[in-house]
Amino acid sequence: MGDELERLQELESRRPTADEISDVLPDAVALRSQRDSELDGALSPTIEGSLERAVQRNPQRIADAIFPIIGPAIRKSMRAALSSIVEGFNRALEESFTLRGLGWRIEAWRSGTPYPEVVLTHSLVYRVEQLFLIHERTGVQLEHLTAPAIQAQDPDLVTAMLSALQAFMRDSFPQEGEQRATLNHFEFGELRFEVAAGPHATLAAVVRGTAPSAYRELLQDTIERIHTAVGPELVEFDGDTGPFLRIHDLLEECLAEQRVQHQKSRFASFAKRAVAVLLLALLATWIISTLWGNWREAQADDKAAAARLEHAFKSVEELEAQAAGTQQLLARLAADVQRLADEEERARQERAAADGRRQVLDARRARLSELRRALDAEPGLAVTATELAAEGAAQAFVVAGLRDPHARAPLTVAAQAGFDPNLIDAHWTPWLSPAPDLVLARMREQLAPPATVSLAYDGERVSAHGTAPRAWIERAALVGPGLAPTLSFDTTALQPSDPPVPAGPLPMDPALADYVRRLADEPGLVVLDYAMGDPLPSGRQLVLEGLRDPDARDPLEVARDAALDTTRLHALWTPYESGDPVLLLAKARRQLAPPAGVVLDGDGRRLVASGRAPGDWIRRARTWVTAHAANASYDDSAVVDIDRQELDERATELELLAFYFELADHDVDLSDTERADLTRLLRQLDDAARRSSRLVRIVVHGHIDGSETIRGGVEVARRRAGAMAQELERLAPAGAVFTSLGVPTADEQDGLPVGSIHRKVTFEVITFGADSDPSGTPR
Amino acid sequence: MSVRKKICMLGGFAVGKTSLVRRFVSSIFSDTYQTTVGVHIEKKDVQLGEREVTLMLWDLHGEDELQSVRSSYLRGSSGLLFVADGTRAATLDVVLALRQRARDTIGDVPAILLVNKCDLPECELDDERLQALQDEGWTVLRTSAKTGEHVEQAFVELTARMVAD
Repeated sequence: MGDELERLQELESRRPTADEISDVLPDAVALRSQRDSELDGALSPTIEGSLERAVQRNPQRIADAIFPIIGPAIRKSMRAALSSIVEGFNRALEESFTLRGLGWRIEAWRSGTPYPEVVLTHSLVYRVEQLFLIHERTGVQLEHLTAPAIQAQDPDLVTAMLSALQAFMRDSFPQEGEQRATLNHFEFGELRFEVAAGPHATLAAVVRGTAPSAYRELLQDTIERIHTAVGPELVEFDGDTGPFLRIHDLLEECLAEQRVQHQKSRFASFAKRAVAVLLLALLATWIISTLWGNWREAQADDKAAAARLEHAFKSVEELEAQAAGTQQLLARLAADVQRLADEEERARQERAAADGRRQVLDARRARLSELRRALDAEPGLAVTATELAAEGAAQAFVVAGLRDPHARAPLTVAAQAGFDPNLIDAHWTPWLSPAPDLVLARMREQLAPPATVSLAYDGERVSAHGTAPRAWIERAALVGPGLAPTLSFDTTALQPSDPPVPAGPLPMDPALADYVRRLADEPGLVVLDYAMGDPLPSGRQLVLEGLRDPDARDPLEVARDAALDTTRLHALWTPYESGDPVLLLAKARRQLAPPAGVVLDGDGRRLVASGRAPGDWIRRARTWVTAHAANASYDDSAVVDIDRQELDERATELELLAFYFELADHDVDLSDTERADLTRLLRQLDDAARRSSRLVRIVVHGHIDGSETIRGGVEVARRRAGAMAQELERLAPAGAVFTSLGVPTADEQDGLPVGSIHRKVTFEVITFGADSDPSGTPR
Repeated sequence: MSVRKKICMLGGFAVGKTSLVRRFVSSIFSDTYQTTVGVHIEKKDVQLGEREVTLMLWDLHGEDELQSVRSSYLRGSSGLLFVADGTRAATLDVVLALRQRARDTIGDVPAILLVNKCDLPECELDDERLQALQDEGWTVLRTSAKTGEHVEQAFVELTARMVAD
């Protein structure tokens, strides 16, 4: 018994061995930690002390251990701070001198909020890309809306998965006393999901950017209004989504978008941004170096501590170095941007000046057309040609045409139409107009009918009524028809007022009478007056006055036909332009001077042209026929326009070209040969267009291949087309080429073939008629 | 008119649910969802006369001792598709247990039982057993993951019954 007692005492007094404690220590620590946190307090000084010793003994080891955490943490927080400063700074810079900026300053002053904060609040830029209305119980999608140009993955599946995630979160993290906790928002990259939940439906918005808190309120308000509008339908929902179409408009309101209000020119805003970033980099450098300096100073006494942390803060140094490098880079960039902006500005001014000149020219052309219309509308005037006077000439407009002596003075007509007569340089050729009023005026003047005779026009012919001396009737019958070209003159209704004269002292020479009659029948010759007197000293006895068209027969030939002794004849012919259709062909041949390849044929009523001619001649011929032979038909369908042909050929040549690009790239990189070819082609196209009076528009089509639909897609196509269009404008003669861009639409991206030959730009040439066809027709 | 219905596909571990329907449905999600969140969601359009019904098919993770089906996923289902493995009679017991669980959670909804791998010689579920199930009110379709036989029919049948409901 004594032995056992002794052993018991020995056991009680014996300290447990280290071996024994090591067996129970882990369990003991775990047990105690479960019970309370006494152990934490007890161990803290020891752990701190050992950490400190470990750092002193081998700082590298500790630094290595925490490096993976501290590096990214510093970078992340700096990036976040920098990006928000950049954003605010840009905005403030853009807005500081605008009216709105002033308004914001007032708001900041009034509300006591710092100005940058006010700027940020007003400059939130976000866009709601997708909106899902989800039935709570079934997880089925009731409505799905997307912003324009957003391509959504199968929304049914996304909806179901969102619903599954809600259920998953509720199961995994049950909330005390909260049955219907919801996933209110979550972020993925640049996207943020905002969720507003109601008892029977949930509204989820996919937002790019930062939406203001007002937007979350809008979502919540909308889901409440949806419950009011379709509450019963939501409760009884059995898969039919039809009833929810009527809340579409409610949802549309949530598809909000807030953009930067005004777009500056790309260069200006780029330059501004670059300057902002530059300033910012300087600021960041200054802040970092100041902080760094202060920090170094403060830590100077404690070199050991500095050494321990130096490694961890190495990333700060790197950032500093990067900032300095960035600063240099940005300085160069800013210079480049300034240069580009200057070039752009110069090009813009040149374009504006060219546009201004073109506008002035267009306005002058329009005035000239007005003048022509005003003159043409006046009876007795026919304009045959107009052109703008050379710059610097005394007069602005040059007009040539035919003028009936009885027409109103052309300059009076022009003045009435609002033109300064001093600005018109007019060239008129005498002409006997077929206009009935003028024919009557002419006859009254030339025939001087006695008061007993009246002349009348009945729509077809001019007829004389009343009584007149026989001599007058005889002369009127002879001379009258010539005065009324294209009309007939009827004297049969006239009654002689005097008895027939058996024989006068100077009877009408039968040869002369015959001659006058023959002349009256001759197209282009008009006898105005004639008389037979005593022989003159020269032996001439017959005096005759008349008008002669350059294309009419020679009156002397007619005299020989009439067997008249031309030595007895004294004739005064005044040149004029006859409207007689018989002369049409001869006149056309003489005045139009058809080029070598053109044959002109026809008769008094019809002109036919065939062959190959420049566009200019074709248009001149058409104008001429309109002015000289309004009643004649003109057929030039067999005339090939060689300028137009040239234009078509050059257009086709351009349309057969294609330029290729690297994957997802849009740099136009032409070889010297390609550039020279393109320059030549554009010049030829421009020349041909100018000669055939057509306007040319080149549509540059950007193409992408199937693999690029996910590498920028339409945007890449647009950039390609844009870059090529700029290149074309550089290479073309000034002001010659007008381009527009053709790019595939989002729908056309499906099923695009893959391969480098599909990554290209091609061209389409459209030509427009300049005057005759302003609406424009495809070539 | 657009009709959308949620249906759940349930069955024991490795009975071949996923491979059975894979070729009949479309999905944009990777298979890892099933092992992480416990559900893989697919979509199937069924033409029923004039009507087109879009089925949202929730393929729930297989039932076994490690992972049990989350009842919350069953909520709102208009129909259920059960799958058993013909070569393992025990999977039919899992189906019966799942059916009871579903009944407790969402009540009675149209359901169809697909018995997979019945074309194999080692099929343990004989006609007698299946007949007994049919007598109890089950609609049973034998199918094969290799040929996909009767799967399309199962979708149409289930849809018809859900729409008639």
